[in-house]
Amino acid sequence: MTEFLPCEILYFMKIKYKLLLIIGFSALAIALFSILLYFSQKTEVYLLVSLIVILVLIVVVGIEAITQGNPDFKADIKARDEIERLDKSFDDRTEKLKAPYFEDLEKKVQEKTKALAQRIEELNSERQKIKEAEEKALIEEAKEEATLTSIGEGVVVTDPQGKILVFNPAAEQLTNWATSETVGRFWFETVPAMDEKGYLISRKDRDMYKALSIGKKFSSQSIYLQKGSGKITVANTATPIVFKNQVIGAVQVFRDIGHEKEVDRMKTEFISLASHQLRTPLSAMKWFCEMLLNGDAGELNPEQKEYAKNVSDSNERMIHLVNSLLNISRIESGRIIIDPKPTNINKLISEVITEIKVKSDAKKQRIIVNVHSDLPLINIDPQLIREVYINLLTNASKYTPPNGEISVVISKKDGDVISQVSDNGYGIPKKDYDKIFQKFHRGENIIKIETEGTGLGLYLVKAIIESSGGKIWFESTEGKGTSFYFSLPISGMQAKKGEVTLNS
Amino acid sequence: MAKILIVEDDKFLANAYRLKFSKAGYEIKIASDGQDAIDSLNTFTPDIILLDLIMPIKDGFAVLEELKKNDKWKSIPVVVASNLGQKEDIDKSMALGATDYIVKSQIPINDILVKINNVLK
Repeated sequence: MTEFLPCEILYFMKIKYKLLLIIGFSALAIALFSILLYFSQKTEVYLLVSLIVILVLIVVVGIEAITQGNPDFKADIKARDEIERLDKSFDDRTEKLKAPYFEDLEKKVQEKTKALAQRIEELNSERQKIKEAEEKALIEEAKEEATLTSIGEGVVVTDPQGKILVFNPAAEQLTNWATSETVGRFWFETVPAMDEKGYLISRKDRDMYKALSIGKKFSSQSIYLQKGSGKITVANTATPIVFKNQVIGAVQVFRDIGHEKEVDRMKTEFISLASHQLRTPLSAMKWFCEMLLNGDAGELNPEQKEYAKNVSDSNERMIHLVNSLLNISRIESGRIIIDPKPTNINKLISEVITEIKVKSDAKKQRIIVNVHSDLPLINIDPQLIREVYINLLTNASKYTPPNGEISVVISKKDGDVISQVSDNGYGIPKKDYDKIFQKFHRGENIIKIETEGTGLGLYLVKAIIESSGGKIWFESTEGKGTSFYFSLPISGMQAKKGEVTLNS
Repeated sequence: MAKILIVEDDKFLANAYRLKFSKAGYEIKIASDGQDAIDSLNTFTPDIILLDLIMPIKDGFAVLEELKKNDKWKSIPVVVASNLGQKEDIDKSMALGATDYIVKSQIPINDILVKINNVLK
């Protein structure tokens, strides 16, 4: 691109002006020479004039050369001093002219070249970047494709209206529709859904519709009607695709949960089986021991009584273990019913203490209770919390030597009710601290002292407290005693429908 | 002498009941499943029925339903003694007309005797 800066135009004009001057001057010199030649026949004059003309011409050519851009041109004249000086001054001017202008030009050229090189480099690097980005995009696309193809979950992507854009192979398999048949169709119409009771879910209540219209993620379980007449139970999640604050589509992910439901059913069946099949012989043993000890079959002598008592105690342990396992299984299944009722904690603790007093009295242990004087009725599930107190107090008595002291302190702190169950018993060794709430864990120091115990109590206690929105922690010094604390929100526990209860 | 129909499919538990209740002076009839229980009622009219739930052929719920539908039998008190202890089992039994509900492994046999005595008082 040619571009004339204003100063360059001016420069050209100057050159033209000079040329005109030179031509005019030359013409005048030739004219003068001709006149002189005509009037005077004197050779000296003629020669002098010729010399002047030639010198003038040389100077003119010199200037011309400069203006034409040949800066190396120097008028090489050696004549008289005056002329030499004139010539020298021309040379100086040439140098002077050459210096700023050409330096400037060179600089400009250099700069331009540099800029050009830089630009080329930039372009190359940009091209490289574009290439890399293209490659990256292709890799991403391949990854996406592989993910969509290999993923076990059905994936459907729709536009903002709910028209299917993407339908992966798992979706094909789960719905019996082929991708080619579904793309462009409305998701809601293609795969209708029913709730668990078998009622058709309206378009407005579908997760995908809600995700598209509300712009939030929605999850549920439903039954999809497959192409043909099949049905499939799925867990599905619809997530809106949001770009620049606008919902531009949604992704529906769903998976077959028929198998999970089956496992759930089997677990429930196992619980029922265990409770019935294990408890039945245990009940028979319990009752026969009881009748023996009761003298139903004739009075036993002290030795016979001791034997029967051992059978009976072991039987009770077995019953307790089965009950604990069933409780664990119920709480782990997440199907436990939480049924909060306004509860007087003071009264609940008194009942629990009455129950465990048989054991603590036998060990001549003292139980001190201190309940906050201004405690309102707390909305808790009394059966669950009772289980917590029973476990903590039983442990306190079990792991405290005879004549020891057990205390229960109930206080209020911030928005919580804090229950503290302390003893001055054997304590928990430091290395057992992080295992104390683990299933089947029993402290090394107490296994030797107290053989009875399932290692399930604290695990269950923690599970109950955590499902009630509370926290549990402890402080202990081996040989000095232990304090267990648990908090429950004063606002109470959240009710949960569930299906099963503890201890039944 | 009070008459009791004991419906229990486990023979050890049935034996325990027989020993306990006969010593307490009851006249006893034992049925080993639900259908056996219904059949026994034609020849034996008890003052009270002790009923297990999970049994072969006909379970306790079905027996309870049948008893309460029959004018001749519906006034006989039924105490359910099962090892199913879930609320739904208890609720269902009570809704079907049971007088009381016992979870066997959680209660001494003597307490069952006391409960039965109390119902008959």
